[in-house]
Amino acid sequence: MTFAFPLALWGLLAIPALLAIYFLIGRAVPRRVSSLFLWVGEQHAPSEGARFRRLDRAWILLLEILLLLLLVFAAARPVVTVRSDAVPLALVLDQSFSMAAAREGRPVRDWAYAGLAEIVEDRRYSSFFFVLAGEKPVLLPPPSDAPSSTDLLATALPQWTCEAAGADLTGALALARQVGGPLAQIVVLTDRPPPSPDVADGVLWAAFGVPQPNAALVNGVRTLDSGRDRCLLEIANLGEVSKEIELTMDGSPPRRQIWSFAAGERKLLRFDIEPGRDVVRFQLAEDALDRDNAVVLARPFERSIGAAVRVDNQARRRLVEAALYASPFARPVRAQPELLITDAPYRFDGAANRPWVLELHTAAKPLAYTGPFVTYTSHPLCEGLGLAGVIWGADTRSLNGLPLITAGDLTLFSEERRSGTPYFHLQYNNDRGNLHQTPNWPILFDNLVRLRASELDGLDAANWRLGSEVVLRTRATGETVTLSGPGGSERAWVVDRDRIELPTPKPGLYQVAGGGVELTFAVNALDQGESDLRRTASGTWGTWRASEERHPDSRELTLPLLLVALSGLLLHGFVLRRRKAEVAW
Amino acid sequence: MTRLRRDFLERGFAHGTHFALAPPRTHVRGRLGFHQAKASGSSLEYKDFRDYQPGDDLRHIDWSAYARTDRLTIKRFHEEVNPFLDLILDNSRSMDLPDSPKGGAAAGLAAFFVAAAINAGFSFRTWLASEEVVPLDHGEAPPSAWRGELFGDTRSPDRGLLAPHRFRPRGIRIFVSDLMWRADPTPILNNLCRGASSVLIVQVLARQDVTPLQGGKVRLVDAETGSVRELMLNAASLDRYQQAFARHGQLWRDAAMRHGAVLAQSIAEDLVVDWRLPDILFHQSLVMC
Repeated sequence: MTFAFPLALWGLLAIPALLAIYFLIGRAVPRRVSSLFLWVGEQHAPSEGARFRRLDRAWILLLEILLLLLLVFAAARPVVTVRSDAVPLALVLDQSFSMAAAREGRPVRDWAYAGLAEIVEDRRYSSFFFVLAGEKPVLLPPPSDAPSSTDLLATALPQWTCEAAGADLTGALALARQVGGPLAQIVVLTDRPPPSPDVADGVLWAAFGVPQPNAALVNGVRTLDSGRDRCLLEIANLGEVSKEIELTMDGSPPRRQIWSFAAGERKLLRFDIEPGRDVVRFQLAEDALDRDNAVVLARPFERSIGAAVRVDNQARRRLVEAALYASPFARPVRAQPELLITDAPYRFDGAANRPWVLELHTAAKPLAYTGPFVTYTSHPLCEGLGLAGVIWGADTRSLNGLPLITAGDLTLFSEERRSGTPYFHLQYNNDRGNLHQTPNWPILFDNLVRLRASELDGLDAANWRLGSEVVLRTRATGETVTLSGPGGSERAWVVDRDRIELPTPKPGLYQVAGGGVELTFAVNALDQGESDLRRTASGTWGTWRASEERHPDSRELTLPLLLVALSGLLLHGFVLRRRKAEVAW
Repeated sequence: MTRLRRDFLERGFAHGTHFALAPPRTHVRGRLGFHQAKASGSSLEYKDFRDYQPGDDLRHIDWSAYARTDRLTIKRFHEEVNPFLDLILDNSRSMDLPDSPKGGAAAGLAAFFVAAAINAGFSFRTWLASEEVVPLDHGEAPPSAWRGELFGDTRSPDRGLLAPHRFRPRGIRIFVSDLMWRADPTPILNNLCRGASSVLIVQVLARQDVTPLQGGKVRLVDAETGSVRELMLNAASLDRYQQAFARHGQLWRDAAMRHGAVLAQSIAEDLVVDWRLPDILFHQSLVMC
């Protein structure tokens, strides 16, 4: 016998404590009296009954010790191993959307459901559990009552929606093995063959897919580039023969186009969207798998920040403004900027909406540095910079903060945090350098603007792939954020941190409102691997464990121990009630 | 006999030498003896007449006076008292209660009465009462000669006191006991008073017999039987005890009164201080030498 929670055995120390209570604290002080017969109305203990009384007292003590033992052992969760030919059954369910492909008019999932009944028929298993193999494996909570083998899957069907963008079957197998133990019988229900025909011992891999052609939308992007609202779609003919594929874009009237695809061909299609359309839907004709035939694209967010330039030197100010406002995400403002470029030290006044600050430093007697320059390449502000051939006019003193660009040990560009707000330093004398004449100058400011814009409340993008981690940024602590999804689903959160991960388990349109934002975004099932039904298969790999093989089966004794302890407690209470007057504590 | 016990015997005897046992002022019925008592009795020496009262011995009715006066008249005679003391000691263990001087006080009290009896010229015999009443070894001699252990029996004296006894007729009988046993005192006193000139009962108690102390949870052990009873000694249980103790004492006092016996109570802790006996004993049976 082993214990799942052996620390609870420390509770056995309660037994010496109980004995101490009995023999020390609860002990009566002996006193000799001339006679007992005058102690009328008190509990009588005749001499011939003294022994019985001691036995009675000892019996109660033994009962209490037994109760303590039972409770401590129950808390320690004892597990005994019995030999049995029944094993725990782990059912790994492929949650990817390819399981929704039609096979002879029925989804593959239904075929798997029927196939499982045949697999488990006349099989013995001691318990069972489900692991949903989506992008991440998920262990389903056990059903409240054990169903018969015929409706075994019925308990998991509501969650087996087959809407995930992929199936991590390897991770799901590992989870099932970890939960069920080395002797668990694992049954994988999927539409794909195993990675290797030699499946692991104890795994029965059952695939119910059939290879069939499928036309799919495998990519979809919508951009607002240079004021043009455009969509980019990728369509694949995932079949062995050439095919004409019809694509419909919703609208009044709907636009239909037909393209010819060679076998296995992918085409990249661009569409201009008329201004003012928030949502655009594309639809392919019905085929084996419906879930990859539709794409809905929401209008990208126009994320711009208010930027102000406070530089006294006119020539330098023009250089800065030209680079800054060249970014499509920056708009000039005079008050309450979200990004401030200044040539004087800036002091935060304690306002809640503090701007990010880039302070420009100029040297009275600058030197011209030609490198080598060292850049913090993984920092977003240094993305795309190429400083070869650049001459950098700067002082001989380093800047404070985290170095982002240095010339040797001289810091030219740095970042620091003031009261939690980013504060950047850049020392550059344009009269002694050529940085402003290279692409690095607008790139640097564009990086700064994009980084600032990415920290605004809201979402990073309006269109997401199914399975992506959609994170909402908000600083409206205490307010309620509501997420409405496809099918009328709705969830709400009270904001207690600046990032909320929004669950998007189904493809479709979502609306998030509250916390200072009101956004519409789309989630699409776009995965060529799942859409490619040519790689699906039917068959079983591996075998069920031999029934004559007897395996050690672990059984927890907590519940029986608790039931016995409960009975003992009732008996103890009954006895104490009967001799309440006798035991005078 | 332990040294301590002998010490109490000597102290009681020493105090008793200042007193003499006196013929009783009250007496039990049907006595004859050699000392002339102040009370009327059944000796042949005529004293006077009085009217018949229910309960009087019919043999003493003056039938000739009845014939003359048509009134029932009783002849009264001087009582005859045998100058002999039967000193009966309750030999049960409860008389020697631990943590109290009860045993020493009872032994000293017995020696006291022996000394008073010797001073009065009485012969005496000392008895031990338990399952049966047996004479104490060398109990006719002064206490210094007594042999054997006192107060060592695990049985109450009620059975012995109910059995036919060998006490001296018309003698004085003194019973020293704590009376702490469950029995009807009437038959005991019937037997004890039968043929006696007078009967004195001296109840020797420890103070804790009268007023037990509160003590929380205690295991009471019967000093005689060893029986055990666990209880919480609180105000309620003590109150019940004292009510029972009072009822028990009243039972003995009523029985003693009915039988003409004298019942006196003495607290051992007080007695061993100055050996001052209850006043009723001086009034009834002791005189200063």
